Amino acid sequence: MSVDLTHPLVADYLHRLETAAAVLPATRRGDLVAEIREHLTDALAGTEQGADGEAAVRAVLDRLGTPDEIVAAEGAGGGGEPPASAIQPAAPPSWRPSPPGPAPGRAVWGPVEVIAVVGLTLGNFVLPVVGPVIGLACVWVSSQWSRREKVVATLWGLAAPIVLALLAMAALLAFRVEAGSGATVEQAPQPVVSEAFAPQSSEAFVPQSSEVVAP
Amino acid sequence: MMFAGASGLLLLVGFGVIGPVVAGIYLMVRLNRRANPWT
Repeated sequence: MSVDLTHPLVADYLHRLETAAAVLPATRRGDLVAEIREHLTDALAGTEQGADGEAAVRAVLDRLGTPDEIVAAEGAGGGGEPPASAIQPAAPPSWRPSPPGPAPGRAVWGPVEVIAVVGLTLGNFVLPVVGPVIGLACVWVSSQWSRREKVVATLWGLAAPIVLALLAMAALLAFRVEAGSGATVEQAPQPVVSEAFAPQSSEAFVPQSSEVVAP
Repeated sequence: MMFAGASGLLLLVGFGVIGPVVAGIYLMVRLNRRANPWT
């Protein structure tokens, strides 16, 4: 059985991280914790339980750094002034994949990422349907985005088919409800005429020839 | 019925145009923020 996020060391680490990250804005805190969890899941995949597994877990957590260091690197203070460690040309946090290339700011934008973003935005107008599909394919091929980001982008990219499916389901449901209630077909109101006033036959109004008395 | 159909079509076209653009901008922002966390 492999080690997962429920391992006591990992759970304790995540708990300390969440506590330390309390100083960050909510969205940033959520992103940071989600990113660390995803990194740990990937890093611990294939690590077996036991003494060796525990050593491997400790090594992974050591490489990550302490929760306080991670939060400090993320920028305590709500994105205002960057911390001193960020001003210095320090090494990037170990939990972030360091892309190859001399300039980390630009290196994340490879051709796949550019095609993905351009396909989704401009491609949507130049090549409707095809552009976004190519863009989404590139999004899933790229390793620069987390799984969560890919899922969010895919949901947005497929918003139209999702809306179409929801509309179709709603219409189907509405027709079924209508058909169900329409089983008792409305009948045209029958004129209520009292039998006392209803003529039994046209003969009632036709004077019999024998009764007609000539003046 | 016709009104519902027109509304549905409008909604569909709207989401078809806006959805992928939102997805692209979202990914662009996320990647830029990752590349330059302090900007």
